[in-house]
Amino acid sequence: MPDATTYDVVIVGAGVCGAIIALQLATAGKRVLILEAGAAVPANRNEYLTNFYLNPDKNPESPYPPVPVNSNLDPGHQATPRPTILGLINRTDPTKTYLIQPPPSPTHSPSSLPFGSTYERIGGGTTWHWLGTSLRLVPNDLQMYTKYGVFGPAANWPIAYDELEGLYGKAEHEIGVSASVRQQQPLQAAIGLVYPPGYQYPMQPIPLSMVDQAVSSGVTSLNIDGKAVFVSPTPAGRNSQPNGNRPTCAGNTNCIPICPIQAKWDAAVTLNKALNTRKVTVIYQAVANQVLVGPDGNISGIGYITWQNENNPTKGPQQVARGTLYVLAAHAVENVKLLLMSATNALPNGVANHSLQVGCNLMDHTIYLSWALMPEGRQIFPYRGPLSTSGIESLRDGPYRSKRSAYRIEIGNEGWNFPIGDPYVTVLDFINGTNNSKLNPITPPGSKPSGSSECLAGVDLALAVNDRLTRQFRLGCLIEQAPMASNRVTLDKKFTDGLGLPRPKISYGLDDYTVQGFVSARQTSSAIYKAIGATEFTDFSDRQFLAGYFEYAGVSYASFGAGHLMGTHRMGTDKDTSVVDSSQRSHDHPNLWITGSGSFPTCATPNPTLTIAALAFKTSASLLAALH
Amino acid sequence: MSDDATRQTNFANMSAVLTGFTTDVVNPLFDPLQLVPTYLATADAKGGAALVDTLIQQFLSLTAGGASKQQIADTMLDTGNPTPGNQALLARAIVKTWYLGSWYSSPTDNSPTVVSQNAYIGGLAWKAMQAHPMGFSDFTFGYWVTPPPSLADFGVDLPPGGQNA
Amino acid sequence: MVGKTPNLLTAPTQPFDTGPLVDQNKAYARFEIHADRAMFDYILANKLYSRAGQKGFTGTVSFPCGGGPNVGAIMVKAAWKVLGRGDDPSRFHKIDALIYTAPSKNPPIKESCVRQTVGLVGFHIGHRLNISSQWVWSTFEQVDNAPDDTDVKSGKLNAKYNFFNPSCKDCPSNQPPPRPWVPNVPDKTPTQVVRVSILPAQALDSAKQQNQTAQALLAGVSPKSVWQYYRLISTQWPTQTNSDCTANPANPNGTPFPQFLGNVTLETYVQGTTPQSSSSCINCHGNATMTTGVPSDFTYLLENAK
Repeated sequence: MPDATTYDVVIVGAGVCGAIIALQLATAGKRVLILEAGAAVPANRNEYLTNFYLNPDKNPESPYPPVPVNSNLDPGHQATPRPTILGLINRTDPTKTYLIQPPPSPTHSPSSLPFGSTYERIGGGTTWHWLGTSLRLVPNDLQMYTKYGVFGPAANWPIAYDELEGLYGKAEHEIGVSASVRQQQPLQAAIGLVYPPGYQYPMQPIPLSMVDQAVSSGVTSLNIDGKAVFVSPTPAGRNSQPNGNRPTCAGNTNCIPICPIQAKWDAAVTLNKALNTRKVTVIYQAVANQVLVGPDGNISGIGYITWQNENNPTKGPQQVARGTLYVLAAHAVENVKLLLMSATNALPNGVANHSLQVGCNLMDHTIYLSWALMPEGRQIFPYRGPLSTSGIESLRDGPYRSKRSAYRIEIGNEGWNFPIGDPYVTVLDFINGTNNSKLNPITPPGSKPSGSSECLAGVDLALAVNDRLTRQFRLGCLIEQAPMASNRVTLDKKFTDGLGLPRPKISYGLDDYTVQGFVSARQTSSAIYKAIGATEFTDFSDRQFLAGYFEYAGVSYASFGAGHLMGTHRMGTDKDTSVVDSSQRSHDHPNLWITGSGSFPTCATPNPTLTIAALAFKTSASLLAALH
Repeated sequence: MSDDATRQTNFANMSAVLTGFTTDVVNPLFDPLQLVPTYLATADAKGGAALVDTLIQQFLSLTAGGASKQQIADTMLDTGNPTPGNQALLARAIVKTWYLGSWYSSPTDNSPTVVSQNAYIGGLAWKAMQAHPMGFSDFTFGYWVTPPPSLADFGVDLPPGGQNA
Repeated sequence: MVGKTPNLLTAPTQPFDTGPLVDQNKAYARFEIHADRAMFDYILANKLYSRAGQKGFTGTVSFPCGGGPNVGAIMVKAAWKVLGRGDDPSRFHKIDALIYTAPSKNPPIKESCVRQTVGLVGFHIGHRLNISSQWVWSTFEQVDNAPDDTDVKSGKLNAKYNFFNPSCKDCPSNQPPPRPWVPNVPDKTPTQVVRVSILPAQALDSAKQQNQTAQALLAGVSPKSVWQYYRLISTQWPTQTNSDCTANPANPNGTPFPQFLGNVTLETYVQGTTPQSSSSCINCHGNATMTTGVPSDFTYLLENAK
């Protein structure tokens, strides 16, 4: 039984944040308790990988407990339900979706959309299925209000870029990021990306795929809104050489949902280092359900219940974990859920919520997805290598940010897997004689089929599959979403999980600034395909079933979640408009830190994990200072 | 050879022709992934052993009759017919499972079952595109920089002269 | 090894940080790797013994293949158990060894060097041949290591095992001890090892035959030999490869048979039948690279270069 005199810090969540903070504190000799809602890190990947191989839906959640196959599992009966893609597909059915999503807009307006991203609740957290993309914010990202006059004054990050640079170096070395400063150099002029002099990434860069090479050579004369378009290798938390007792990447093309060989870093690596210190205890299957506040405003404990049996769980008794300091590291939605659940008469809006911002400003990187086919004979051999090895980063900053969202462009190595579910769709087309892929025959949007669909067999079938699939590629524009107070997570009053805890209720949509980002992303993507000589196949007009489908100015779009959950407990200098300070320390409760991408006041364009990790180092320093 | 073994061998040879891959790929020595018995059992269970036997008989007589492999495959899958009968539909289902590792109970089945882990990693679609199943690569760091080995190396049963013959 | 110097054993954990192997006396097993002359000469000639040398190497790493008069590259890996209370030394191939534990900050480990008698419990042989550029992989175990999972289920257990306690009713099997793993400090959880059934009947039958033949021959020349207490588990080999020391580039691992293979003392925690994750000699070694990330021809030795 945990004891108040034993722990210096109690952390809720064993993901990237919790693991880094635990390691930093334990290395300094502090005693740490981690409460992790979900299952322990297993001894090997066998079970998770088998789940993946056998699951017909190979979504990000497919390997991880509780295993949703054909969305059978009812979040109302699970101990640790979480958002899933299958739940998103079935978003109007509360027996299938963990998040209680907003009702669909009858006019397909982007102002009311379901929230499209997911996360895991297990030891190691969502890093089990992050892509590995490790991009730094750029200086202008931190100052959207000052530089571009958008989002309001609370949008400025309360941290200087100089300081963040140093933190990024620590994060990149802890994770093990493969990249070359020299290769990133063109982005200095383009978007202001700078490194400390002499800085070196821990490992050599991951080399570019044939898809990257084709895009790169095709865009050499392209400019968008006055900015040159060029391809940059993507720094990644993935071994380009043996490192940390883990093998070199072998290009399993499966970073999401699971790297079979752990060449990609995940938080279990850092968690194990933390456990090695002897100063860290992890209690798994322990769901924090209350943040207890004493009369002096300090946190006095974290209430939690343990459980057995994921489905229709048996609950253990209510217990309390006590420490000197407390850290919430359960990610942007669960942190909020916990704070709101902890409301009392004295704190009717929940813990740490004087600003009333807890749960507000929910952001994702909304993805504009597009896809195209290279000309006949121009094979670029996708479905090889890591899921993504490069991107177009040069458009991430520019004067246009005063009017519309910026975006980064992720170049996918996995053909049309994300857009249409290939290779399944095209292979079935050629056996069934259908044309769901629009490749049987090749029928770009707006054109008429040149003939009837073929049914093929034998070598003819193999050759047709080869011809089409080796020419596919896709781009994903990760669009900065504007923070909006009305985009928020609250507690649903009706629906609970298998432990009787309330489920998150979502209110979400895209504002005009963000939608203008979609408009630009669409134009840019088409321009890129044109410059390369590829035929574009992006068409959402017959895809109204998609969760993120919307219409704007007569055009059909779909917004996909990037798996990034941000903004819900934002940092700032003003306690009336922000939840935490630059160290992620609560303005309201001096011994409480609320950490993770929920602290981001704006989300800019880079994938959040590296910034989460960087801020975790700053939080660690803040915790250590508070313990002395 | 026992009747079972003969039936299995015939099924393997038939599968090779229907899928367009060599017997080396479809039925390697010792069959470490055990795909032939697995798919035969699946086809028996889902389509009925009698219909599978009919298919095998059709394959054997077409082969004996001197038809080319492509002709045999086209005939058995009834590729000219957008709404084929049960026999050709079963043949198509068998080809789907070889290519994708899942069993599709009808042309419109959109919740197929993955037959087994080995079925997934043994999927021929990935070889047909000169890649590998997502989540299972036998290749080594950096392979994605340069073009892959040839389609023939991946086991497609191309005529001499290769892909463009 | 020759001469009067005891063998030096260091490595106390299995690859990829999967865990240590802790025996019933709470001592850590130790692992060691050796290479033959052909491998050694190749590494020396191509300067692959250092990071700098590996960086300067522009070719494809390709160790000599055995065939005809050439033996080819051979590498071996051994697992050794400290012989202690309850162990019958007459059942082990024994050596006198210096067990060295390297110091470490995290986990906190103090340096130590202790002389002990150790018994061989597991042995891998990897051999590169013209008929198998993916090498041929055999693994052997001492017969008392652990029960099969079928034996555990049926309750058909021996009185004693090297790495299994028959009277423990609630010891989870094949789970590494809690961290930190400190090899030279007492208070450790013994590993409850169970052999997972992963071999198809053909592989089991073949190994059984090999063992019977070998043991019969051995009994004829040396009935008291310790080698009567050892057996071949199986040999993994590529079913689709060329016979001139080359591979099909589209099938670099050559469709190995049996699909999965491991030694309970060397791959304790990754036994299973999940492709890409469960122990398979060729699959795992196929990912091996030098310090540069360049493939190293199925050996992890080269990634240790400084």
